[in-house]
Amino acid sequence: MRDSRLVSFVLLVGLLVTTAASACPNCETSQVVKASVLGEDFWRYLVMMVVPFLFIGAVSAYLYRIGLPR
Amino acid sequence: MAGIPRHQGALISAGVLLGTGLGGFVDGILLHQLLQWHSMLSSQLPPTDLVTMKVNMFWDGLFHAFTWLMTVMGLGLLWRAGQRPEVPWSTRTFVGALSMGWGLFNVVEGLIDHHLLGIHHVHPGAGQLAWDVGFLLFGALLVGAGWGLIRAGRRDTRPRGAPVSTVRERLVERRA
Repeated sequence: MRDSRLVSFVLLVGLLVTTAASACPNCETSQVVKASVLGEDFWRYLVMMVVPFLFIGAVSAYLYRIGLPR
Repeated sequence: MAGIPRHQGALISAGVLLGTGLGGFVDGILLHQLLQWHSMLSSQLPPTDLVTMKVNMFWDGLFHAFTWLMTVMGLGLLWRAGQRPEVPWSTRTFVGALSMGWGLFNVVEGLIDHHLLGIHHVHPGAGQLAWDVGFLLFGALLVGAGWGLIRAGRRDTRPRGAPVSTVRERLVERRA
């Protein structure tokens, strides 16, 4: 019972926050920002951002294997 | 614990991911937000007006999202490690792995984003290279220290939940 009330509260707060954040989705500034973010460089920047994390994930997997029992 | 194979790797891999998360959040919170030295794309798209600031903020947010994911994965691996009796619950190993993860983040992110791609620098302007190299050296130091702790932790065999003897108990045992 407490869990469901807590979940409902969290969802409501999330809804309010996102509503406030998108208070002006059609403003010129928002349109320009959206166009810039989702422009032709989007995938390039995304790949550049993800690569370090993928590399570290691979290192973590490797360390898991070399730490296996002998 | 004698005769039970020791699987240090499970704790190390969890610690490395958690350490990466810690390092990523220190970078994001301290350098991006509190000190505002740089943003994710501040060398390619300098945040000089509202639009460029918002664009950089989006990419900073995405960076934080990936850092959060690393932290969640690390927590999951740590939980699984804690459920396996063959994983020695070694403080040295775990702290060493955390240090190594943080250091790895600095080195890998520093090399790729600061030096190879140049999408941002630690502290742009005068002394930019010194700050970038310092960031790398700090990371290398953390990796070295972490590796040393992990190697020292190979001697630890106490399983999770086993009682930890206090300093007083160890002194009493020695006197007896």
